Amino acid sequence: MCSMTYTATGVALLMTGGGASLTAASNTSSSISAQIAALQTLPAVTTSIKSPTLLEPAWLQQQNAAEEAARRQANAPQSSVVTYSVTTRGVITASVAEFKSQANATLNDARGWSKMGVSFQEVASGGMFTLVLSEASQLPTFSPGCSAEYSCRAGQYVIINQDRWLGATTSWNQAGGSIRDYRHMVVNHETGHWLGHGHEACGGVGQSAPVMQQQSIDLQGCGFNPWPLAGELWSTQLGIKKT
Amino acid sequence: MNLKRIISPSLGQKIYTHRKVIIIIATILLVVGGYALWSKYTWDEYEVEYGKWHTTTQDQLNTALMLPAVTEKERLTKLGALKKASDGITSARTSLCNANILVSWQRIAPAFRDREEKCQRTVDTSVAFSQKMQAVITYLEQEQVLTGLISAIPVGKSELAEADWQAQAAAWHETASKVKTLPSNTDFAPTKQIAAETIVKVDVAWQEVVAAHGAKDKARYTKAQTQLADSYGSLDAIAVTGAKQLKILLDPLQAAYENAF
Repeated sequence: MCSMTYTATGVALLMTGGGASLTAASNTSSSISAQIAALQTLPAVTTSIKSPTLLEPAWLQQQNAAEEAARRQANAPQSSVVTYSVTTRGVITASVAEFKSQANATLNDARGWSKMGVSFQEVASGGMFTLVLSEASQLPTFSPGCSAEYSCRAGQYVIINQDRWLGATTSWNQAGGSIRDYRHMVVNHETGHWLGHGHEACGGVGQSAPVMQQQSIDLQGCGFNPWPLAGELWSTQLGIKKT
Repeated sequence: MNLKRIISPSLGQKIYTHRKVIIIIATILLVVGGYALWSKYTWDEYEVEYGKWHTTTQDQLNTALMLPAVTEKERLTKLGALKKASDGITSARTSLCNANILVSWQRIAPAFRDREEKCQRTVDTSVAFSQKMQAVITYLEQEQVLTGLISAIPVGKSELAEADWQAQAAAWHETASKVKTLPSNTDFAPTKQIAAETIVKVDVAWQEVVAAHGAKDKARYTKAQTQLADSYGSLDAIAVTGAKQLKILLDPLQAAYENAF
């Protein structure tokens, strides 16, 4: 008598008549180790645990910033004082005194370009660049690339559009930004061009916008920011390298 | 009985004369013949039964081996099925090769003794496999408890702000304490030991990060950060040791399986 049993894993042939028992080769026999090894989850679990990145705590950020400032101060370029003069073009209705005062405060603010270890000093004439408060319609007279809509930089001229100085932009105002912050931003942005910067894009939704981003036009998901980010603290104009 | 009276002129007369003797002899022949036939049938059935047991055991084992083991639930189910199949082998150990008492004396004959010995060899190799399987299952069960403890640590985020550090330090400290008290046999002991050592490293590193943070000590904090990264790297040793320990058990298991089936 001979009976055959079909199993899930192969064919088991049982010969009973002659008293001989024979089991055919099973697919499983060669892989029992692998089958059981697959039940082990410890290696997968432990190797999946990676060292987390510790975000810099507030106290360390402050310490690092202080050290960085000190280092920059120590390694400041030969010309650590940046001189500039102030002038106007066209019909100016804004207070020029306020413009001078606020622009100088912005340029020397501890949150601004002075973090590179430089200071900005207004001089009566000449200087390394000229800060201009310009009637909006006069902007294109500095360069074909300058529009009457926004502020601009052309050569040694850092030109602030009077309309923007007085009223910021629609998007800025709609977002609840203050006029003082806009003034910080526009002075830093245009001076940034003179320092050697081009335009930057938003680094990611929810992040602070680089000061060199065209925040007056499109925030690209970033938050308004009037001050240069750490990564923007360099200047080809002054020979200060990015760290 | 007189011989001359038995050797009578005709056979019919002889039978008639000595029917009682003939009946007795015939009965004896019938009983002996019947016993011989029944013995053969019993020995054949004996062989069929342990053959069936062997095949059924292998089928149960292979069915358990082929179960999926992707999810945690499936893994536990598969482990349980393997344990059940393995237990079944052990329980058959004592009784399977005991021949019927009315024929067992016949083992004095080589043909029958061979059958018994073959049965015993089959059971012995199966039991040897079962014992190795039990060792593997015990190892995996102990390891599963360790895996559960490690999995319970909340390590989801790749970036941790200072507000998260205390909770991390507490979680690793608690895990380190629990791992130390895990039960372990000889097979699992090396895995447990390396797990305890490396998890304590992470625990100590986290405590140092928290302490340096509390002290606002930059140098100490920087060192603690490095120590923390190194300690996480050392966790890989658990995987290496775990795989090695299981392999030590699986290699003889594979050999035992091939020997038994």
